[in-house]
Amino acid sequence: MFRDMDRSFVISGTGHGVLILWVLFGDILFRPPVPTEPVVMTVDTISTEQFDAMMAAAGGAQPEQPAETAPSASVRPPERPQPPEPAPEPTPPEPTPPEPEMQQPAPEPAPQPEPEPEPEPIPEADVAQPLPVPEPVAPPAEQEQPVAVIPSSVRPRPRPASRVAPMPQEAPPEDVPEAEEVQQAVTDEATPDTPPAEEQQEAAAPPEATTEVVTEATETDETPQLAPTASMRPRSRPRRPDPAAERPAEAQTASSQNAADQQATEDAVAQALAEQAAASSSSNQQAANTDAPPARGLAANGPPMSAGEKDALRVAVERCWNVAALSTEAQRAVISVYVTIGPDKKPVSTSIELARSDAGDAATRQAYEAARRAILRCGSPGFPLPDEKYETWKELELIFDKGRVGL
Amino acid sequence: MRRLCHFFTAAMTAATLGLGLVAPAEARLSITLGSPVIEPMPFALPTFADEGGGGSMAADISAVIVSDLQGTGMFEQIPESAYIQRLTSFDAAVSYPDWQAINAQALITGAVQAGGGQVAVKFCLHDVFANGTMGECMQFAGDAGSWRRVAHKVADAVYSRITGETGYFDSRVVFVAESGPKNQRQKRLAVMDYDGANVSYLTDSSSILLAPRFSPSGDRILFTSYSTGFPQIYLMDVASLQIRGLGEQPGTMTFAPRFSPDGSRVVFSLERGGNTDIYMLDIGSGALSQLTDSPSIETAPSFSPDGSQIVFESDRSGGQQLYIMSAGGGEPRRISGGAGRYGTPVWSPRGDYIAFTKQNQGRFHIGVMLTDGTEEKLLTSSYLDEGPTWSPNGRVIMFTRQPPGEGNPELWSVDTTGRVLRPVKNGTASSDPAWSPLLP
Repeated sequence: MFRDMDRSFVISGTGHGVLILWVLFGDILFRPPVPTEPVVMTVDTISTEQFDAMMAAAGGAQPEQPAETAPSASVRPPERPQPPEPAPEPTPPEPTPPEPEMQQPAPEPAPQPEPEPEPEPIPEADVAQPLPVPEPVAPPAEQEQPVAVIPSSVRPRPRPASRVAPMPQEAPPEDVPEAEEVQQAVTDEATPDTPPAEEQQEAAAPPEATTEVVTEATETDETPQLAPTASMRPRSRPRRPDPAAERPAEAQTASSQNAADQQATEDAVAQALAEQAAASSSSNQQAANTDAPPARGLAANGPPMSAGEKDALRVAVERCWNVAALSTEAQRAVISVYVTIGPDKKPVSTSIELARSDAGDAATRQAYEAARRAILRCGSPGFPLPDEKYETWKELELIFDKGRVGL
Repeated sequence: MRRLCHFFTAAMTAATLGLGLVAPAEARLSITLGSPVIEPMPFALPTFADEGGGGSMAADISAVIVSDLQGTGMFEQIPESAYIQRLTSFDAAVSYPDWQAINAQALITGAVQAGGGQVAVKFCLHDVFANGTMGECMQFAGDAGSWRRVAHKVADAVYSRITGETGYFDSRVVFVAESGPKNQRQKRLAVMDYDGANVSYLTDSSSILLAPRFSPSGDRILFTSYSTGFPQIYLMDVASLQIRGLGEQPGTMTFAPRFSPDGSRVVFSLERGGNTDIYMLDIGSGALSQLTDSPSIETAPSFSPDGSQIVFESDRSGGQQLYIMSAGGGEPRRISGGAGRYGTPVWSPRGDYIAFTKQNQGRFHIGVMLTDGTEEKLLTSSYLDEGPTWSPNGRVIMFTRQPPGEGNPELWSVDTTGRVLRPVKNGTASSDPAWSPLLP
């Protein structure tokens, strides 16, 4: 009996083991062969009239075999030669000294296709008329954008901060003067009875906050202001080519073609993200209606925060992130803090926790306490957060990284 | 066999379950902050309660603590008139919302008890927005006559707890007190609290004294005296005020002395035959060793905190510049490279910066640079600033400022950011300060 039990147990165990191994490693062992790289072909949609015209021109060729039909000039030839190399993007605007537009390196014209036999133009196909080839000119905005000339690399002066007990200084003489013949005597006795330190209380640190320290040496710097007085206007994006101009593929530059393709890709990605966000929003709405609390620490797939909304939150916390009383090590520390934000947009004080730090214990503690104070102080009235994106911002990771600025 | 099967099955099942239980990666909205504000931290300090015998001492101690903290530029007291809660005793419960309402980020409560020539101060530091104390409440006690030291101790504890750095309030400064007209100046050594209070004199004015330097333990002072007509370095015992000469060499002048970090050696400049080089003297054995050998002038040596290197000034390149060499001597490397002349370098007790005096375009500056000479930052600019000395925690520099014309030299302090610049009022013309270590 026990032998039968052993046998059955061995069979069962072996079977389970094989099953588990198959689950674990089956995907590796029985992975289907790597599919060959798909061949990408460029296709275009045509109207019924165009199709009929093509059929008529083909003399009743089977539509299932378009490759065997004679290429019609009424549509883009399927074997239109691709640019041999992806041409570079149009040169982005750079804050370089202005140059006449004619001197700018014009985008290289796309390599002309091989002199393959052009399809015979069919007179009856209206769309086969080649459109005038647009001149490969640079974006017109570049003609209108004067670039500010930076006269030197001198950095702009930082905003001066109010000082502690500022003392006016006289202009320095050329040479240190000799000692005078008669000098005013000073008292020989100290006056320790008058506590001078307390007298300095009114000359305490300036109440005004600043993000940059200006020393006395900086304040007396007489270097002329050489920073540009006006910033240059941002250049406008290159105008998208007219869709009609894409028809004569031979005349298009490779760079503009790639730019259009990338733009189309970005549009598609943006649309897909928007659709996904909308779908997740509706699902989250349903989840909220059913009062099903999501697991802690997992941000639901709420609609994404815009850059402006993130900036508003960042600025709101930075306003209370005061590092003046921190040690140099604590100021250099990069710490990550987790915090849960309630539906009232206020931080849950008990949820604030240190996620990670790159500094030692003492510096981390000081930096974390300053970060926690910033979150609680500026979060007490509620952070500027969009109501409809609660699922996105209810679980936050705030990374406090001052760097070495101002140290 | 059966056990083996059991084990195999259990292991595989556990592995499978374990893999299935792996928590998914957290997906939080991540925001990076990089632009903090730099402003004094508002704190509240109700006048400490008098628990008997303190009299006005409670108010005086409170005032010194406030002065210490505010003097750093890192803290700013909220006026007591703005306080909502009135704490009348040390044991009274703190209503944190009342302090949050006035934006106090830290609250210091305390009480003073005096009697029998002793004074005791107990205090608590509260993190207002965390609704609790920062660390344990503490108590300091001492002679009633040293109540300012007790107050400095409290301020040091608060400063250390908030900033994470050791304080510097309970420390002293030795300096040269000057009196008389400029052409008949009398100079003598004096010591004071770091904030200029409690000035007392160590020597008379029979001879000119210069460049005092505290030992690392604070019990001895090196200085240069012209009592023989030529500069010679001397060592003073602070407790007994006994003085003895060091490194006396016939026909030489010695000056610019400074202790090694362990206090056993002295590095200084020695002029012999018109040439000045840097020497090292072992105080115990009297052994003298020459560290530089150059026809140029090498002076103002200062040890690194670990004692392995020495920074000094030299004009071997034609102008005064800063150099670093090994503590045993050897080929130095130049670290200063900007325009102007650099002198009186002093290594920070933290080891990160070197403070110096810079003269450029007719103005004097106190500045700091990293030990490799980079990140030079000028903290002051004046008619004449010179002779920096570091606070025990390496956060503040004290120096001499000489106004033009009839004015007398004064002591000033500036923090390493250059943001907090203030005079140190001690009631006398002063120069050549040297900070002591933190008192025990």
